[in-house]
Amino acid sequence: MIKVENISKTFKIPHEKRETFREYLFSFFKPLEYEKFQALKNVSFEVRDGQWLGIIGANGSGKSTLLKILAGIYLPDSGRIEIKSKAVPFLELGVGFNPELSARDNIFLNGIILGMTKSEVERKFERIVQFAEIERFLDTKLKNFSSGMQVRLAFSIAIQVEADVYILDEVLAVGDSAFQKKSQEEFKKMKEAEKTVLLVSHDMETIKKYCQEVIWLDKGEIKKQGKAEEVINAYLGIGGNQ
Amino acid sequence: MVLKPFLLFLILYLVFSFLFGQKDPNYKLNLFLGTILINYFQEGTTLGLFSLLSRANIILKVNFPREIALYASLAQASISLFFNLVVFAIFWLFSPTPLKIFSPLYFLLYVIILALLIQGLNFFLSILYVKFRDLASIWEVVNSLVFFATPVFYPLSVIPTKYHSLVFLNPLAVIIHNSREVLIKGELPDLPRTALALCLASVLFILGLLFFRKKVKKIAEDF
Repeated sequence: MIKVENISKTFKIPHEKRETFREYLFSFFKPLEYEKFQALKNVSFEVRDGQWLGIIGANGSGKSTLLKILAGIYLPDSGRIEIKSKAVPFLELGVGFNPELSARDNIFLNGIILGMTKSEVERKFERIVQFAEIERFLDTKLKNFSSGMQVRLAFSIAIQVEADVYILDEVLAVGDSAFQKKSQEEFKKMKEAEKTVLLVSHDMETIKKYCQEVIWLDKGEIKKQGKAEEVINAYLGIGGNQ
Repeated sequence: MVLKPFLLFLILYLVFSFLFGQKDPNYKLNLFLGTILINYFQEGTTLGLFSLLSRANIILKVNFPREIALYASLAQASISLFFNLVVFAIFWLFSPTPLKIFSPLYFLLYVIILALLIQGLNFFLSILYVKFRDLASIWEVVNSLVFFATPVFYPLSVIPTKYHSLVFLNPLAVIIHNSREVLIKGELPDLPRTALALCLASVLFILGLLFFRKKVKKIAEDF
């Protein structure tokens, strides 16, 4: 279960950059002027076990900030978060991939960064390789992979991570159509296994397909929350070209 | 990685052996051990300084105890220290230095104090570097100051005796001097000064850890 209560987050954006000793020294008596940007305003919601919650909104509406706070990367200025089970955030695929290492080494590297143990990765190694369809290139350096193959590998590692709560940021649309079909299968399996998922996407079809409930974020606030169909229609009606 | 202190040692040896070499029969070994240890300090703190910012792409995506990034840097420096010490051990075993059982044990203690010192500094450096990007060049200058302020290539005897207590306020001087005493001369180390260095390093480590834990929570916003 994820419980979010009244989360607010403000970023200070300085007018001039001041990030060296020299700059501090020469502008010692000048007060640092900055603008406040409120990325999130009193956001509260709850995700029950086994529920898929979609988050939609225009670029810059605070979706990523919200996910980063849930992932523990940013601290909220106020408010409370409660996540009562093992949560794995996928804010980006292939975190920590090293292009100079082979695909084999990168599977271990990325798997461990995502919270698996070494023996867990060893156990799932075959499945990861099969799913990514890279058997022939296991010992090729990652930098010689096509970018499509890289994300396919990254995706294949990510879906092997076992958790109860997944926080997914735009990770569905990877690879060619055959691979996408395969990954849709994985999502169906996740849904059947009653995992709790927080899904951020611009693809309304996917959101409609998997999420019963949707939150529409606008300028850091929840503009509308409710049944997927209703919220998406309201969002498309105003948002227009999405 | 392994070659750097060795080459530095060769240069210093070529330049200074005629100056200090006649008085000290073990000048070669003393110099080599000194450069290895000072190189550990310099490499360790430099890697530590960059340890958070260079991993920004991971830190912004995955939540893990951030201290791990610092320990990874320390481990990297420690690995090259290990290989350097292997090279040193070859020289050491073939030289007519007295072999004592306790020497490696005491030496290990000094390496641990040095690692504590490096890690303690890294807790501060890694955070400060995110806020002050010119700290890297400042730290380079500090490192060369440390190199000259520590008896690495010159013997302690060139400094007047009344200033010795001042020199030994520098924990690096204590570590390098006593490592030479135990490994090369086969003598017992100066325990009060060792205790002082250990205290300094531990206090720095604890203060650093507190500072780091307090500041690291918000550091991702400054990347």
